[in-house]
Amino acid sequence: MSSPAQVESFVRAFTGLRVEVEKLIVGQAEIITGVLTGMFAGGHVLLEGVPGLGKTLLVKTLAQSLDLSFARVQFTPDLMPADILGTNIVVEDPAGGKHFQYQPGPLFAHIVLADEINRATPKTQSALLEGMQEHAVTVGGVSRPLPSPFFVLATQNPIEMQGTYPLPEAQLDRFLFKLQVRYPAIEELNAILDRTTQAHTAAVQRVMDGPTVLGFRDLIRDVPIASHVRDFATRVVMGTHPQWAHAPEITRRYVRYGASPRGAQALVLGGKVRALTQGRYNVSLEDIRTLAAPALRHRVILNFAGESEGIDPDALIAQVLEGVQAETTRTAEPVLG
Amino acid sequence: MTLYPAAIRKLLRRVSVEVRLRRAERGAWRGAFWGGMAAVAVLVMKGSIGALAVPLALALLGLGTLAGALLGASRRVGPLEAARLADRALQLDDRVATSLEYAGRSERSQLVDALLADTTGRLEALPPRRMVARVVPREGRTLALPILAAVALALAPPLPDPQTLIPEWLGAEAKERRDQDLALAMLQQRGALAQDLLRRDPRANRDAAEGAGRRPPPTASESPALFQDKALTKPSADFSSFVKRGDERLRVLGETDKLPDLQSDFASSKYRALLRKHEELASGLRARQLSPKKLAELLMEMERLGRKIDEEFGSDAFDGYYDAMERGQTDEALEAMENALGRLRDLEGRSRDARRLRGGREPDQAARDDGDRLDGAFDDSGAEGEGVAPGLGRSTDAKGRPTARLRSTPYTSGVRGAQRGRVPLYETQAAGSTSRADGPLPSVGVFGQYQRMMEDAIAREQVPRDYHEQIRDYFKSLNER
Repeated sequence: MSSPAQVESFVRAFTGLRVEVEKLIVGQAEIITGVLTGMFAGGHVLLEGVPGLGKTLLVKTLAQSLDLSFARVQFTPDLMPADILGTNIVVEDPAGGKHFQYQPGPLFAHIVLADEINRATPKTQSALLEGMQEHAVTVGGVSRPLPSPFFVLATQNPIEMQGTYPLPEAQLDRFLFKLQVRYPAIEELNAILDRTTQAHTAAVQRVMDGPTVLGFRDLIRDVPIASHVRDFATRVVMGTHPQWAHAPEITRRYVRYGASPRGAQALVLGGKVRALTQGRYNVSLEDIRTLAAPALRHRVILNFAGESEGIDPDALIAQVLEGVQAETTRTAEPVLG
Repeated sequence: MTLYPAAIRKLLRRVSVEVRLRRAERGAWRGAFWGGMAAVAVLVMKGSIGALAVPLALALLGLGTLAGALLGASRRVGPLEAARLADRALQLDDRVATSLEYAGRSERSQLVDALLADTTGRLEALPPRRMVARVVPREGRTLALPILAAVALALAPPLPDPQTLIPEWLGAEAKERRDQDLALAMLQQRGALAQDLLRRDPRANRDAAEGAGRRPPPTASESPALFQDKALTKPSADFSSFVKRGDERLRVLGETDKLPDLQSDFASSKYRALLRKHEELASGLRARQLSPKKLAELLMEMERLGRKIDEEFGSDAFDGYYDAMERGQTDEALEAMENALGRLRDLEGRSRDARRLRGGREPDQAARDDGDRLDGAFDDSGAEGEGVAPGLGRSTDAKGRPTARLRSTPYTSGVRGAQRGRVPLYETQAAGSTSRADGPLPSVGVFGQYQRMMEDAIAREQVPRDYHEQIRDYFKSLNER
């Protein structure tokens, strides 16, 4: 049973974890909150940003703050599925006999950093699919469960596109959120210089273990959500579908495929985490609005017109939100109604 | 049994009452506006209604307001609706609506209990405030207009006759009366014109003038520029004009056993000109709208042109027309005119057939076509277009039956040359840039030249776009052969 005490505990843990990460990461509060929200919601997070913004450091710091196993895989074009899933190797027993023994790959860790995920071939990228969705991998016909909690944090660089393999839609859909790491402001840059060019380095403490994370995940799923808030999330997701009768004009013109049902799940689960971190026991419309861009921007596939005109998915989602919000407000206006 | 806390219940009741009050206000504004409009209408008819007009107007205003308010207040407000409104107004982040929804569930988690407690606590801490904003409708903002108008009308003396204030287009009877008057006037005018036409007998006047060798005086409808057949007066037609002459010419060219009659320009055909005149006079009007005067003008033009084609084209072509005009039947007159146009068309066709091909070898040309000149020798004695098949001479056949030479290869027309051996290749003396200056040019080269000239011509001249493809197809077929 969930209780307000557990909620308070969660809020404390969440805040503590953020404080630990912020010891090494300057600024990027939105990204840190997004990564933690994704982790507690039980999803995986894709970080996109130019090199040098601290994406990898963020993930490493998070892993240090949690009492969980961590593995880092640098994705390269010659990386093979067996390199991350593991493989059967021949071992010799004391009696002199030989047999195959499964050697687990780096995917068998609680937190996996898939650095520059778009540099690996689609074959290797796809090897992550089963692990991310089913929390299990199949090697040599044997399905092997991954440790729980299992959390993949992937990074990709949006500008160096030569020699990369853009993630397929099926792979992208497995990520709960796609967070865009922005360049730090001047004050933040100064703070980064102060911290990284001095001899003293802040020590990160472990503030949470695996079972605690899993407990919080159960707690999060109990958070109530009103039907009109759920409807709002559904309408936002449907608003990204050009075939939907009430889709806004921008969607009809520029979108080929809209967000999948996983997008709606991401909105609601993320909203529940955000509600608890805000000290609320219910999901609000504002939660859905805040999380719409990170949850949907990688799930909206633009058509040729959208690509050629350089339509920003965030701008598109903002217009969808605006349209759905206007409709909701109009129908909920009791005096005019 | 109430499942949610008293604070939430109280809040919902308050919101509900407030919403109904606002709805009543809004309804009252709208009702007052429309009641005011009705009052204005009553006061406009004050002269007819008498002393009761002002009390009636006041009553309408009051009734409208009351009805609007009652209608607005009678609409119920659902609890969820009220909860969402309270959430928005009090910035409670959907706590009330969620509490309301989850409080009624049989199995409540501790988080739901915590939510209810949290919502109740926040509601109790909030100071009482108005949650539903006052919304003045558009009718409320313009309410002053009917009120002011009503006051002005109430104070002013009664208007003399309200019927005169009603626009004419609103009165069906007046419209009907006006239409009848117009129709009567038109009928009278038509009858008078028809009588006048019969008295004048324009054909007789014109025939007399022509018989005396004088040019008949031009009528108002005559347009010399339009009806002068300049193409007929041209000594020869160039290729550009040939291309310009349109689809009729192309159709003739398509018939491989006939040569084109270059002198007859379809664009300047009398029939076509008459049709244009007819359209010009009609100006897109329907038969009933065509005035008898215009019909008379059209008739005279038709008759003049008909006689130009055929002297025997006489009054019998227009019998139906005169009868119809006498009776004032414009429709029938038009129909008779169309029949006359059909006859004109036949005359034109016969005339064209007669002119079309006078090609072939004429007896006086036969002597020139001796052994030292091969088949296909160019005959430039005749005017171009008058049945001349270049290189083929004239035909004695009035119907323009082609010669055997022409029947076999009709597309060699215009090529002066000699046959080499058994190969059907003709060297020509047509002008054109070849490798040898001023030297003979193969006939296939002539076709290419013609094709280029054609492209230039249709680009330069005002050839209808629809004909471009037909023209190109024709020249393409020349090359294929």
